[in-house]
Amino acid sequence: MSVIRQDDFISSVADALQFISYYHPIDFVQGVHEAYLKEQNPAARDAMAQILINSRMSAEGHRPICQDTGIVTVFCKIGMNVTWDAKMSVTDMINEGVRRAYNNPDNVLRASILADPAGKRQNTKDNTPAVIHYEVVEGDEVEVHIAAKGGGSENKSKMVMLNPSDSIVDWVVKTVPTMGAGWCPPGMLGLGIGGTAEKAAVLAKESLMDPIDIHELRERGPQNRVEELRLEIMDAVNALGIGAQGLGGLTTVLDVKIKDYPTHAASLPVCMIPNCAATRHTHFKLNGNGPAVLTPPSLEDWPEVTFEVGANTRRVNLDEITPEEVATWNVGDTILLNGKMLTGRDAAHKRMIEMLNNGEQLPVDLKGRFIYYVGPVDPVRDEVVGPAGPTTSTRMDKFTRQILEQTGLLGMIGKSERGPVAIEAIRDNKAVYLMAVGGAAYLVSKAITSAEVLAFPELGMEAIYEFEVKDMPVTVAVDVNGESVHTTGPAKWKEIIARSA
Amino acid sequence: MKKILTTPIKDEDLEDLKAGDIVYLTGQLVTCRDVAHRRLIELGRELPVDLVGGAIFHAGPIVREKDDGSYEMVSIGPTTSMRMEKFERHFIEETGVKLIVGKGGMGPETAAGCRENKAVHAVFPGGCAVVAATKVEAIEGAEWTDLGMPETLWINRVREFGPLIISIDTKGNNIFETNKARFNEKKGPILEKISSQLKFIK
Repeated sequence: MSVIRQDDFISSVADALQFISYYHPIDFVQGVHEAYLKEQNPAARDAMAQILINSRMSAEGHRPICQDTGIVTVFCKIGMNVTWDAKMSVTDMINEGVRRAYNNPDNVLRASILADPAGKRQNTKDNTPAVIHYEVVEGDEVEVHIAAKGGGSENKSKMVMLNPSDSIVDWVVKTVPTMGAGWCPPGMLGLGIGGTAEKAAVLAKESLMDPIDIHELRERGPQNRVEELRLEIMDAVNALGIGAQGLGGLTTVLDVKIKDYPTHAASLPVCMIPNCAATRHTHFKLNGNGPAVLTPPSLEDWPEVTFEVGANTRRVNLDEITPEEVATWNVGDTILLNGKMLTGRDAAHKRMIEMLNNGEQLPVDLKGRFIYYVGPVDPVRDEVVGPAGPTTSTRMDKFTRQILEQTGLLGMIGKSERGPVAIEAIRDNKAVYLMAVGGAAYLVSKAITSAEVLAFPELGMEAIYEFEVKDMPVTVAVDVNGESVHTTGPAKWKEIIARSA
Repeated sequence: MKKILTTPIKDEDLEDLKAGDIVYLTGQLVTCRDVAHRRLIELGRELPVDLVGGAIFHAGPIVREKDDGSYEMVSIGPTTSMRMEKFERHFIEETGVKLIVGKGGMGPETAAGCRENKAVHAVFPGGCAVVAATKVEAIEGAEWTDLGMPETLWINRVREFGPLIISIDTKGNNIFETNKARFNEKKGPILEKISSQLKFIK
């Protein structure tokens, strides 16, 4: 029988969350590196270079890999012979660990959790509560798998009740292209098959707690239907040519994880949850001998990758930018941004639209400016700004036409693709949309040399800031003619992959 | 007057039936659902029961095995017919089945199969499984018992089993498709009204 002390449990949870905020699992770093070496599309290769550099910088600087530091998800297996020396419930202890981790002054993490989700949507300020799944098992240990799941990838989760005779592979291949690139490929797909609707969803999430090991499976060969499915789905999805950040390319998924469970004769529930480039999870066991010890990886485990300024890269000064210059940019071009840009995301857009509808003047003149869809993490120590990667742009699609037409905004910077409504608005207004690499948040923050709140300070991370940047890397994703790299890129690479197969 | 079909069912028995009519079945009714359909159509295995002029029931019943080895029907309600949609047209053609009983509607493929081979699909109200069991006089056989209780082909002798509501007739008329079109017509104005009252974020 072992006795778990309250403080040990809380500090283990807090330490694990700090640990995964800046250390990618090494198997994931290796997976991306391998894909990077193999990649033939320069734009996708650049994106993966940024992810790898960002990963190393985060590990070195102990700062979050991504500005979205996630919703805490815990799988907790409690041995039946464990007793607790604690005044709090296990759930309260886990949430206390979350609170400590996200408010740690040395590495403040972004509090992203809102209470009253269908109503006021009020920030709980400390990223609590966690989503916790319990299992009571044999033994005298407590085993905890803990993850910080990003919202962008979680939003792309899909659930279906298939007919027992339907093909799971077909469903996945049909569904993945509808998910866009907001889930930040390359990543993993977690599938839960069987059980009931909610069981399939939990299995899908739990499957993502395992390390990338599809190479071993490929070498030894599949031994059951689930293992066959992992390989079939991985190959079929990669043949779609979606590529890193949806730019088109050879690798869209690094691994496909599956967990299954017996199900009803009439049912075939399937849930698919993607995991983004900011894959963050670890696990620990407690047996009464103090808090968990997490061994930091060695920096030597990260590959030496440099981001090269290639022939198709140009430096742009945003303080002197003209519509004529923007018109010369082509989709797929890499651009290093310099000078001043504005920021704004969901809440700021909603405010601006309301003000425009009421005929009020906006607090910031957007004419000829660029706006970056971002909600940065608060800075620590001498930082100008915390990790500041892009957020999913499609959420701003419905506001884009009105903003462009009524303010004269020239460009937008965000994550992944735009929808048809936004693309048409961009074309009609000769504007441009640039894509920053999702998951490369710390790298981007290092390009920001100053940050100042210009409007809506009460919105916190959603306020309008002015950033001054130096060589911030972006890709032209929608040009003034309305061509979108997220359409042309995957189509082109799907064909290239099909021809070489 | 109560319309009663008796197996083996002949084409002329079904000729005058229209979608929406109510009938009863006397004779043989064989349970046959997901895996039985897959075995016949996908795997090409021969069905162990002759269904020419016969009736099948999309159902997974509860059956009690008695001490003498015979079976007693405890509860037998319909399962969702739509899962069999992709097999049923072929199934009708291959087996010569005349009456398909289940729950909910079926689609255009089954309707085509009914039209081509003079068969009908009927629904038995879902959730009335005990009533249904009282119409089963005896279980005369069980095939493919390896599939477990729900998927076994239970061969039932039934008397005035029903009410069965004809959902697809031999002309291929489909009551569920007709209703769907009607409901969709009603949807437009309602949707317009709701949309004007809802905004994105409150």
